[in-house]
Amino acid sequence: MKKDNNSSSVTKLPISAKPWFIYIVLAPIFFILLGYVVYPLYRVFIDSFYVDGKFSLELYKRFFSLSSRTNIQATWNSLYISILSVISCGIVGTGLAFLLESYEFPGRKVLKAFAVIPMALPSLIGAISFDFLYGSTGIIPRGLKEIFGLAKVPFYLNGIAGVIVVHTFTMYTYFYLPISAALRNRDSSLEEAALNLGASKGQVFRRVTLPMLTPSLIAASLLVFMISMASYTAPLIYGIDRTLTMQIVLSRTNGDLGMASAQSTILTIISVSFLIIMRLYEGKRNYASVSKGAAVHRKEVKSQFKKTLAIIASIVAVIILLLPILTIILISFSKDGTWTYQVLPPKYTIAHYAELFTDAKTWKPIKNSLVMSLIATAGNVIFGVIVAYAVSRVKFKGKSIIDKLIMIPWALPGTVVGISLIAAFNVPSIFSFGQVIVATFWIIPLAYFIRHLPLIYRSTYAAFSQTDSSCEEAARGLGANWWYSFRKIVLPMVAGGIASGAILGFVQGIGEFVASILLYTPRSIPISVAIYQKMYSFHFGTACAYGVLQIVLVAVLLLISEKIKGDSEISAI
Amino acid sequence: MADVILEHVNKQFGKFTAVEDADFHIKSGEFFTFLGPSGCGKTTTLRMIAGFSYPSEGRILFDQRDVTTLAPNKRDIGMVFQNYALFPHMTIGENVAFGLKIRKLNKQDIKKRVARALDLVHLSGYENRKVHEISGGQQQRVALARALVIEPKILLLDEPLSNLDAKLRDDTRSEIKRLQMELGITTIYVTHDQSEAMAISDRILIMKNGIMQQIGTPYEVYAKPKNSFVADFIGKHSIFTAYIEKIENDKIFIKLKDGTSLVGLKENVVSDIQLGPGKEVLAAIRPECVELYRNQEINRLDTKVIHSEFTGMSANYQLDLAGDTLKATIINQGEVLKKKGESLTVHIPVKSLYFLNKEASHEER
Repeated sequence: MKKDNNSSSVTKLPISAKPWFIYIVLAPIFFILLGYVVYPLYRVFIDSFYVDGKFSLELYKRFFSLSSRTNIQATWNSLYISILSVISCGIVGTGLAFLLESYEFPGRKVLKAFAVIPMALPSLIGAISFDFLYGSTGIIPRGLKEIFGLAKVPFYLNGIAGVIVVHTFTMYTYFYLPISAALRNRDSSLEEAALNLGASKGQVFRRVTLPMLTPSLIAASLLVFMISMASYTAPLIYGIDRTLTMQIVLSRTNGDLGMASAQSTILTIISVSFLIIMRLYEGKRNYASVSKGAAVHRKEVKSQFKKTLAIIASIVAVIILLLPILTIILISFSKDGTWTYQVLPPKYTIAHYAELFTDAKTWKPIKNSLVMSLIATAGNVIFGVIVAYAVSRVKFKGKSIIDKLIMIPWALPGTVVGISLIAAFNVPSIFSFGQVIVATFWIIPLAYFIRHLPLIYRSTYAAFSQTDSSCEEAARGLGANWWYSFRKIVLPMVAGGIASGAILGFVQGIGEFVASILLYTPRSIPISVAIYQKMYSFHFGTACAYGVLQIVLVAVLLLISEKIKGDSEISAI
Repeated sequence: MADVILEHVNKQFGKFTAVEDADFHIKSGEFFTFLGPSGCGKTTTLRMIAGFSYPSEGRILFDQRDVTTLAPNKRDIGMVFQNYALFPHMTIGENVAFGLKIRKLNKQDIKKRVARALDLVHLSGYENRKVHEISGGQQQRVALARALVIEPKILLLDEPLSNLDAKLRDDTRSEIKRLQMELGITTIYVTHDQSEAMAISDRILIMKNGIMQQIGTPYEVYAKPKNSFVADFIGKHSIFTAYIEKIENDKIFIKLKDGTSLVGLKENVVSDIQLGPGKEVLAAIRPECVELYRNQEINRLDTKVIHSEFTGMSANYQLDLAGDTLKATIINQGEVLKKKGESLTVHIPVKSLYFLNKEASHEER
């Protein structure tokens, strides 16, 4: 292609349109990602290769040593628990989805409404409630023993089985939600077409329905696997020392930061590999149905016997779903130290709730959680808005790097986030502006910021990419400068989406336990750590009152978030 | 009112050339249309005029003033977007008032001018409605009112009718034309619909693959297409490759591939074709110029019917001529419709045969 070189000249662009301008704007973003996502992981990685300041593979030799098999066993347990959790969550979640989406029976709506309850349960409270309910001294086993006059409790949850049951209860929704959405939105004309072509019902299920669900099933399996690998709370409550997360915390508690680093590195490699597999898989799957198709009809359960059975099963299921929360509520009214051998706490009081808000010492963790979570969320929102705006509106190289870096914390177990922050910031560094952040107030907000970065960024990005960029251009064309149109047009349009994501992040912060337990200082104890401490000093009532407060906060905020999301979807045509 | 000049404008996206050497002058008060298939660079050119992207090379002038890299908010243009881009969180009134608020007019003036603008597009009294409460056609008119209320020097319209249904499209089109005539505003209109462009424009720029193919009045681009692309895109011409046999006085004698002879006029040679015996040319014939053969002396064509359809007013034929297709529209005067496989003898008037270039493309430059 020949250029007309005598009359045209290369256009001199204004600074803001220069290709490098965006990189200057994004420099702080890269600084944050490098400093708080990459650098801590890098420190952990490096620390795992140094013993007494010298390069050495000693830590890994110890990890894989056959004489003391603690670490190998921990890795094996983690994998084993995760695989069983996937299977168990898969069966419960998928089964429930099929039941609720394919059949019409009395109690369906109620069961459907309660099926998502586990999502409102913070991990620590969830695990504790199961111990109260089904543990060796739990309400149900003891109750059965009393009622039937048995010599011993008939059953109780313990060990790995306990961990898996807790995982199933708290994580089956990762299967249930996507599978029921897929079932609801599936194009039933495909199944009709297959029937029309002569396939039997079984063949239709195997050859048409199941393949359509496969992407959701695989994605959910990977997700549950990752979260189970990262799980710390359930093994802690059931005393399974030999999982990777528990070993990391134990190494750290014993002052063996090197070993904790090596263990963290191994766990990170496993988690991040799963993240990569998941992203690769997400890129490939695309079975979006072409046509809207006719609405999927649910089959009505007709026979009286089956109807009765369905009602009973629904009631039982709802009770199982509600019991953990009811238990926490009940115990929150029990007098501390009075509940020992009885089935149910013998003495009740409302003093714990009064204390929460009047006693300065009990109030402190609540205030801490609110403040630290708010700081982290504010940081996440500012960060998220800048990056999401840039990525969705401006053309520049390095978008995929930013996207990948932001997604890393999503795969990182809270334990690893905690250890890596300790490794990186227990000495001054440029990323902490020459300060030691460990053992200060700021370390937990930083941990929350990192952990909830992907969540808030994702929702912020979604808000930006769903709004029409030509509205901003229209405003500019009408004479608004960039800042004015950003404030008056862009922000109001994305505000709803950002707020709903920010609330989700804030909620996570309120319930956060895993990184907090590694990083808290006496002055920055968050609610979850306070619950844990109260549990171990047998202040069950106070612990559960904190728990109820957490649940109420989480539930209210989740409802608000849903409301905002719904509203903003209506107004964004 | 302003005139708009593009001087050798190029737009490069990485290695991809979106617009190449756009060079033209839009006169003050003119209704000027960029026409072409999708991806031809028409929207990219419009966005450079609006200031949403800057040319890689070349200059853009409004009234002699260089605005090549001027920020979009300083250009004093009104623009209507394909999807209208109404602000969803504002009422109709607030949408229209937006540009006036930025210009810091006082409240009374804003109210008055918003009312007048809405009146202009027949939406009086809609001030307090929400954007999602009104229909697509009404949204389109709000977008127009919002663009016009600031009394811009230039009005840009990016496929403003493409989201409307057929009936509404015709009404809105004449509405836009009426407003433009009333206000005398320089208007640049982007569309891929050639009949829309023909109906509304003073002049049309036809583009393909980022390259200007022809600028002219609707009549010029229709009757005298410069090249095969324009001929096909605008007039549905049938195009045949032919060899020049001889040139005599004002007549050109050509032969098609199968040896069929045709005669055309020298004045129908468009632009810079090299003439001379043995040279290859493209011969173009519009369907409505094909007549039934009635013992004319020359340009008799014996063809076979490939496909025929009867529309009532006319018979549309696809005829086999020299192995290519000749499209013919014969006004219904009571003849029997010929069926597939039957032979049909037609005549091409001497003045209806045009000689063209190939389309302008990157390789030729």
